[in-house]
Order: sequence, then C-alpha cells, then structure tokens
Amino acid sequence: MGFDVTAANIIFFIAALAIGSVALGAYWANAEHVEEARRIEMERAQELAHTNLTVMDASYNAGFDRFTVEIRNSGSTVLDISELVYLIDGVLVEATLVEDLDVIGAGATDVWLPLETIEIDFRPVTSSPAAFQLVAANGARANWRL
Amino acid sequence: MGADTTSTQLIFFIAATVVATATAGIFTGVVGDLTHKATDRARSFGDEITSEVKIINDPSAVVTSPDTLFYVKNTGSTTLDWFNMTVFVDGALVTTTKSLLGGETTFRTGAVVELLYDPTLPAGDHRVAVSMENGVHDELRFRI
Repeated sequence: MGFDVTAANIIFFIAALAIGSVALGAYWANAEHVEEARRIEMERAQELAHTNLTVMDASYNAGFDRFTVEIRNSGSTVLDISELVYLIDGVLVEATLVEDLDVIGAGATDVWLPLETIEIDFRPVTSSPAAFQLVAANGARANWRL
Repeated sequence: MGADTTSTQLIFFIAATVVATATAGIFTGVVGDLTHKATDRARSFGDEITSEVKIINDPSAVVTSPDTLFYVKNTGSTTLDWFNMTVFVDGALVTTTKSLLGGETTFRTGAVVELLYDPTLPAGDHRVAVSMENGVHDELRFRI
C-alpha cells in the first residue's frame, strides 16, 4: 500500500472521528432536551389529574354588595392562591374586586394545601351572580351555578 | 527508482490527499447540517410539549353581549406569542381583538389573553378553538 492510500485513510479516519463526536454530542444533547420536556409535560399532566376543587358554598350579601365563595381543595395537589383566576357570570374578575382571600384556619399564606378550604370575598358585586368559576394555575376548575 | 516514477507517486499522493480531504469535508458539512437540523427540531418539539393553553371560559356563562368574550390562559411553562394566536369559532377562522390582561406584557405562564369576537352568536351549541404558532391548541364547547 502506497503513501497516497495511507494518507487518504488517515484523513478519512480523522474526519470520521470528528463527525462521530459531533453527531454523538448533538444526539445526547437533543435526547436530554426532549427527555426534560417530556418530564415537565408528565409532571404537569399528573398535577392536573390530581387536582380537584369543589365549591362548598356561595352566598351574596346585597347589603354590602359582597359575594362570598368557599372552595375546598379536595385533590392532592398543593396550589398557590395568588395564581387563581375567577369568573363571575362569565366575566374575568379583576384583582381589585377581591376584597379578601384566606385559607380558612391557616392565617396569612399563599399555599393552599389538600383538604383546606379558601374563602373569597368579592366586592363590589352589584347583583347576585348566577355563575362562578375558579381556575387554578394548572387549568383545573371549580364551578358553581345558582 | 527514477525521477519519473517519484514524480508520478508524488502526483498520486497529492491527488489522493486532495480527493480524500474534499470528500471528508463534504461528509463533515453534511453531518454538521443534519446535526443543526436535528437540534432545531428537538428544541421546537421540546417547546411544543412544554407549552399549553386553556380556554378558561365558564361554559355555562359565556358572555355574548355586546361582544362574545373568550379567555385563554397560558398553563404551560413557555412564553408564547399571543398576538399570532389563531381563533376558530364553530370551525371557521375568525378575527378577534386580543388583549393581555392583568398588566402583562408577555404571554408568560399564568397570563390570560382576552379575545373579543364581534358578531353576536345565536342561541345553541358552539365551539371555540385557539391555536398557537407552535401548534399548541385548545377547544371549548359551550351553549348559549
């Protein structure tokens, strides 16, 4: 075998090494990225599946223009009450309408644990609502209808 | 070995080296290009599966007057392009007036976009669907 063939083989060998390392590096990086994304997706789906919210009571006080709702976290997911979204009669409620928001028996906290109940006072609400919906950060909902 | 033989071998050596280098260069370029494309595809796939939107209207109390109101919440973990959201009402592509609520400037996780649909919907069953640029979508069936 002459020098020309040997030189060509060496060049191919070096190129193959470079290509292999680049391709393998990219493969592992991509696999890691997709795996991380799938993990996040699974986590989110699992969290949503384990979230269950129940409206326990809703009442309207015409004298104070106040609408009070009690909602129980009857699932096993820990929620954040600062990330809740409310719809009264189909209209999204501005944060300024929330007069008071408490986890009953827990003092000042944003953490809404399983089996705990929150009480929300909306004011001013000028007429008795016919429908209410709460949406958690993960998209889980609780509905109430008159 | 004469000078002519040496020259021939030198020419063969140079030619083989040039051809091998060129071939290796082409292969390296092709593999590099494929690697970039695979990386882009993986990123876009990853973004897609970590994205999620939900139409959070109360299906029993969708506001229809003066305009029909829809609310779309970003429940995924990526910031999305809300302005290019595509909206379908009863299967037809419609134009809506979009605005981000709560003083948000981007459609980040937890943010809500309000969609105002001008024509009044008649009483009966309806379906609204939204689709983001990366293909993430949600649908809500409701009754008026």
